This record gives sequence, C-alpha cells and structure tokens, in this order.
Amino acid sequence: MATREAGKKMIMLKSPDGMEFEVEEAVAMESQTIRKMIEDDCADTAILIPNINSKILSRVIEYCNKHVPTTGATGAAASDTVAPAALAEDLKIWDAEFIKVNRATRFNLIQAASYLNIKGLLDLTSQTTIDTISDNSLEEIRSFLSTKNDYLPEEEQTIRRENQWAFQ
Amino acid sequence: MSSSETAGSMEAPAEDRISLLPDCLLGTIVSLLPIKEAARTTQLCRRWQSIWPSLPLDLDLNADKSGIPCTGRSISRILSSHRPGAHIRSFSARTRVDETTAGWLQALAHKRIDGSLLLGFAFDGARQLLPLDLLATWSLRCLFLHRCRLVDPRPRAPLTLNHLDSLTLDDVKISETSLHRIIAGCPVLRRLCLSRVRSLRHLVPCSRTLVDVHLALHVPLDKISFRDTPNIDNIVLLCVDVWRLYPNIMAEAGLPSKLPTVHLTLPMLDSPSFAVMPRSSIPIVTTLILHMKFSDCDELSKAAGMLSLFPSLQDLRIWCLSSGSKDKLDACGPWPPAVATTIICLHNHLKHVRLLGYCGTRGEKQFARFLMAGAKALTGIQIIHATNWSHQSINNQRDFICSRGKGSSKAQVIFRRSKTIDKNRRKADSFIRQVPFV
Repeated sequence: MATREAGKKMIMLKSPDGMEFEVEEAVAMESQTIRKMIEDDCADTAILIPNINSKILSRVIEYCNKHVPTTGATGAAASDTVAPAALAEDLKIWDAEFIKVNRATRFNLIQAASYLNIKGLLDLTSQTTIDTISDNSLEEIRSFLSTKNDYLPEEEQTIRRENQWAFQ
Repeated sequence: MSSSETAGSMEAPAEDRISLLPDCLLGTIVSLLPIKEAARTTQLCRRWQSIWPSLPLDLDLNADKSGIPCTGRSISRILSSHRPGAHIRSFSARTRVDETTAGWLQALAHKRIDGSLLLGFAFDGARQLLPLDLLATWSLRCLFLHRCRLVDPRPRAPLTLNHLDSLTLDDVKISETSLHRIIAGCPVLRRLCLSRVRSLRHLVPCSRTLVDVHLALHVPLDKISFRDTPNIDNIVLLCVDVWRLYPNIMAEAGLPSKLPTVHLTLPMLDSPSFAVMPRSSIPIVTTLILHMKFSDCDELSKAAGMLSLFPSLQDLRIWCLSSGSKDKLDACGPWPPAVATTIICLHNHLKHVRLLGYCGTRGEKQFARFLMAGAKALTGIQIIHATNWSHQSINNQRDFICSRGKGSSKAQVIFRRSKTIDKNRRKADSFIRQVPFV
C-alpha cells in the first residue's frame, strides 16, 4: 500500500512467502522494473515480487537502501557535504562486505538483480562470480560450475582450433 | 564441491547453480572476463559454446593486458571466432600492413560496428587503402584512423555517417573534397581532430553540430574558416604555426559571431623555430601552453616577449621541463630586469596560470614572481608539483613568488602535489622534443 510517512512516499513489496517490506519509493525505484510499475501506476497496492524469497528480497532492499542517492530532510543531496570520491570508496567497501555470501545466495542475487533490473547489483554479483572463475583452468571452471564436458573429442578439437588464439 | 564453500549455509546446494541461469545472464557474466578468457569459455561444454561468440565484441588489441599479439593474423582469427550476426561495440588495433590486412578488413566490413573504431597502421610499410563507403557501412560513433589512405571510389554517391560524434585523422592521406564530404555527411559530429594531414590546404567545415576542432602538426593550411560552424566552441592548435595562419588565413572574420576559445601549444622556446622570435600579435588565442626549461634569463625574457604577442590571453599553462642539472638552473641571474615591459594580457585578461611539473628552481620562481607582480586580473597561480615539500618550504617559495607584490589583490599561489605529474611531464617532454615546427 502506498502510504506517507514523514513526508516520504512508501511502497509495499511482497515476497511469495508472504513477507511484506515497506520501503521508500526512491529506494524501490533503484529497481528499473519497479520504477516502471510505479510510473505506469501499477503500484497502488502492494507489489508482489515473484520468485524472490523474503531472505533474498531483504538483502536486495538492503543493497538499494545503501545505493539510493541520499537526500536529507531539506532535500539537499548528502553528497554536497561528503566528497564524492570518499563516498564511492565507502560504497566499494560496503559492496565488498555485502557480497561475502555463499554461492547459492549469490546465484539468487544474480537472478533477483536481473529480474528487478538493478544494474549495480547485477554488475557486482557478476563480477564476483568472474573473480572466482578467472585465472582457473577449464577443468577447474567446469568443476566449479558443475558442468560436464559434453563435447565429442573431435568437436572439442574443432572448437579449440577455431579459438586457438585464446589458448596461446 | 561444498568443501570450498566459504560462507556455507543450510540451503547451499552441493553444486553451483550458475549454469542454471539463462543465456543472457551468462552473457553478462562472460562479458566481464578479459577477451581471451571469455573466448575460452566456449570450450567448457555445448551450452557455453555460443555464449561468448554472440556477445557484442569489445576488442582492444593495444591494451597492455589483452595478451594477444597485435597482428593481422590474430585479428582475422578473433573476427572469425565471433559469430557473424553479433555486433562489435569497440574495435581498436594498431598493426602492420601485411598479406592478412585485406582479409581482416573484408571480415570487418561484414560486421556491424556501432561504437568506436580505431585503426592504425605501422609507420613502415605501405599505406593501407580504405574506401570511404566502407566507413559508412558501420554505424560508428567514434572513428580514429592512423596512417592510411582514404579513397573515394564513388564521389557522387551520398555518404552519411549518421551517428559519428568524433572523427580523428592522424597521418592520413585524404583529398580535401573527401574530408569535407565526410564532415557534411555527419549530422551529429561534435569533434574533429586533424593531425599530419599533409595534403590539406583548405579547411572550411560545414556543420551545425561541430563544437571542438583540433589541428596538430603539419596541417599546411592556406585557407581556414569556421563561418559555417556556428556552434564551434573550442579550437585547439597544437604546434601549428599560428603566425602563418593569422590574420590572412584564420582571422576573426573566419570565426563565428560567438568567439570560441582558442588553445595554442607552442614548442620549446629554445627550439630552432624561435631562433627569430615572431613579432606580430595574435589576438584570437585565449589559452597558451608553453614548454620551458627555465635555464637562463634569456629564455625567461623570450617567454615574457611571447606573452606580449597574445593580448587576449586568459589562461597560461607552462610545462616546467627543467629536469636537468640543477646547479646550472639555479645559476640564473636576477630577473626580470628593472625595466618594466608592457604586456597587454597581463593588464587585461590573464586570470589563470598553471605551472605543471614545477620543481622549485630559481628560474621557475622568478617567472612566477614576475607574473604575480604584473598580472592585474590574475585569480591564481596553481603550482602542480611532485616533490613532497614541508609546509615551511612551500611557505618560503610562496613568499618568494609574492615578494615583489601582487598585481591583483585576489591572486593566490596554490601548491598542489600530484602523483601523476612526473609521468605526464615526461610525456609532454618527449612529445615536444619530437615536434618539428614549421
């Protein structure tokens, strides 16, 4: 339900397991998907977020809360008082802490970031995944991803030949 | 598998589920990998075979980290690994013209490039021919060509580069007609950089969107006019003989009614170009970039003389290239001589001075003191240095610079330490030493 609290417009987000989260509109609008719903006036009652359980949704909201451009009560941007570089550095440290989660959670966060269309979160989760598979051998990556090499030996040869430049 | 879990929880499955993500998300992840590693993921399994080849390609073979030799052979191979329908977002390669060049250019012609294209060819060897209409087959935003020859096989056919925002030609052979045809065919062109375009005699660009023009080194113009570029805002002249251009070739009459800022970079004052100092004054220049060694009084006087030729100067930047034997530099005698000289820009417009790569030599301090005392509209002298001076030392230097008074009560001396300034100074130094001035 869109309500007003302390002059800020609030939005209700609902996870499929029945939990409700009341968040500021500005925070919810970090998600381009929700922004679109709000702009299209589809958000007069609680917005049901399918496929994202309450545990993940609460983490996503935590991320959006941190990343929403902060405005004080007077409407002056907080970045007026804090140097932007320091602010960015602070966010980076926060992000690094935030993403220290197990793989299952990270997987769910990638999905959630993609569905809700939150670019910063998608970049963060993808980059973290990259960091874990980068500099590993194919065999290590396969084992990390739990995928099996399903190429026939001759197919594998062909593909390797086609991309030979990448293996030199 | 679960043994490698760092933050295990009850719901963590024994396997990673990344492979369960849809292809587009896998693509997002792969696009973050360096190109070589990204291409290697095709080898993982069938599912992954098509992920990388379908992604937009960002290829920068000149990047230090690419790890791919910048040869025509690599370019051919990479282009053939990439799926035919997928587009290229950026492509940057400087390479040698060899037997593979025609082949990969052909392959590139069949790709969709909708970002930036940088093509450069090695200094030795033949000049690669590029047909003009090839450029129009892509929807480029940014085009940089180095050492090739642009030819126009169909000069009457319409030519449009609808998205081109920035065009740079360096050491490119192109006819005047073709160059003007390109400019006229770019409805959103904002930036034009021409360097060593030796065949160019006339430059009369016609563009409502052009705001930024850079002319560098050998651009032997006989005629230049910006009357048909009403929105031009910034003209940068890099080691261009402005005394030859002005006033016959590039005069106020050739500028739009709203005067643009004009930057001029000059070679070293002790270079053969200035064996005889120019005398005529150039009122169109608003920003002057000098390179000085501050080695003796003669050079300082030359610099002061140079300032007197730019009556509209607002902004002065000096690269301090005094990294020689410090003893000799400090032997600079008293300067300026007592006789006051009339330098119009000091009286009227000069507001900002920046000394880049300042080392604190006597010559530098004397010149700063001269500007401080004489410039009546100055707001500040910014001193960008690499040395880690104490407060005391900075105060002493500031006191010296202000010791003959301030021409403007507002003027301040601001010291700023920069970690990158030394590197940039070396770059400026090696660049300016290579510059053959007219």
